[in-house]
Amino acid sequence: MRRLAALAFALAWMAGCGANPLLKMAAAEYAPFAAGSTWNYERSWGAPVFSTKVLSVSKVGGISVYNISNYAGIPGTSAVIVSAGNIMANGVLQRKLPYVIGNRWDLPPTPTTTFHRTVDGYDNIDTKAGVFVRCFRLKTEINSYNSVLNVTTTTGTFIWAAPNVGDVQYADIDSSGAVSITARLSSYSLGQ
Amino acid sequence: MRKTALIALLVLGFPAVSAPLMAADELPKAQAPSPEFSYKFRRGGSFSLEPALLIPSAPLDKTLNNALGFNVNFDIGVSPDISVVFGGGYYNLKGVSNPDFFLVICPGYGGIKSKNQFLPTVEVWWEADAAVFYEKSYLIQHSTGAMENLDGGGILGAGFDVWWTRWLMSGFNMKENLIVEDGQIFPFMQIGLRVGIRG
Repeated sequence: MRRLAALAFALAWMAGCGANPLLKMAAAEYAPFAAGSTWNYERSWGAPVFSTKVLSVSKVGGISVYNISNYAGIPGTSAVIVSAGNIMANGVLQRKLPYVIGNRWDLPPTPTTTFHRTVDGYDNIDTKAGVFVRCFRLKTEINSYNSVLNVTTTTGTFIWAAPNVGDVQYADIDSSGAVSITARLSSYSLGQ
Repeated sequence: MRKTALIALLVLGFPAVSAPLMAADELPKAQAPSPEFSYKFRRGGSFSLEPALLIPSAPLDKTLNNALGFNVNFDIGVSPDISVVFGGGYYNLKGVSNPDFFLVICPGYGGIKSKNQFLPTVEVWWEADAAVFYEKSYLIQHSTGAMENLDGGGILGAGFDVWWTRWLMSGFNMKENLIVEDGQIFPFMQIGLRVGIRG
């Protein structure tokens, strides 16, 4: 009886070694914005590309507004808000939290281009700043219509977001589907 | 003369002989336990339905709200002191920051229950179970996507049952669900009221 009980407990706890740590992902913070937080990115050949920095934090209507330079590669300073699970940069929806594989939303289009972002899956990413496990992969599909040639070209980007760190890697997808890494996290520091 | 003596002996001796016999018949009844304390009754099992509140603890207390769900419990009596229990439950927890986010947790458990009847109609117990937890996260409204997972763990609980009749019972209990995932324990407290039948 005791052996049977011990075996039952052992089997139940071993089942905890699942390949899809849902609770860990739900508990993690994928947008850890705080005043002074800095993320430095470089290209694969070592030259620094850009830094993302939370310059200041203010409150508007009880909601924190983060002034972030070069947020997700957007040049200049963006006013970023995280509210009701939505990350908005300059009033434009960028991402939806928490990340759930299969979630899909549209980014604001232009007259000739549409943007569709999907939580594609998750990967382990190895960077100079460390090895980050279970980084959600966000795929942005860009459909550009050329009215002269009357043809639509599909390209895209990848963003990998690590739990409790933020964005760790960016990549471009060309029209043939080939992926090329454009930036990778080289160092970071999170403010309080 | 002999006949008279024999008759007198029988008449006088009968009460003296029969009294102890009668007392002996009555003694088991007096010393017999009441039905509620009988071995058969105390060994009995039960089936109960239990609405319960699931309360996430750190680190998920900032991510998920409390949720009202239910459990179904089976109790198979092995002895007056021990039962084998098994059952399952369903809870759907809503996200804190994003109200469109939900996490379903369905525990399935089996274990040992130690019980003690200290009043004719009240039994206190504690139990330890091995458990498997099915989880599914999903989004509603203008969002899509879902993820599923299976985790293991354990459940520790204690409570008391009240027997309103020989077959109708209700009870109160508190349990701690310990979900083990990737080497980390995620505790969820559970407070439940249950109603069931006993046999």
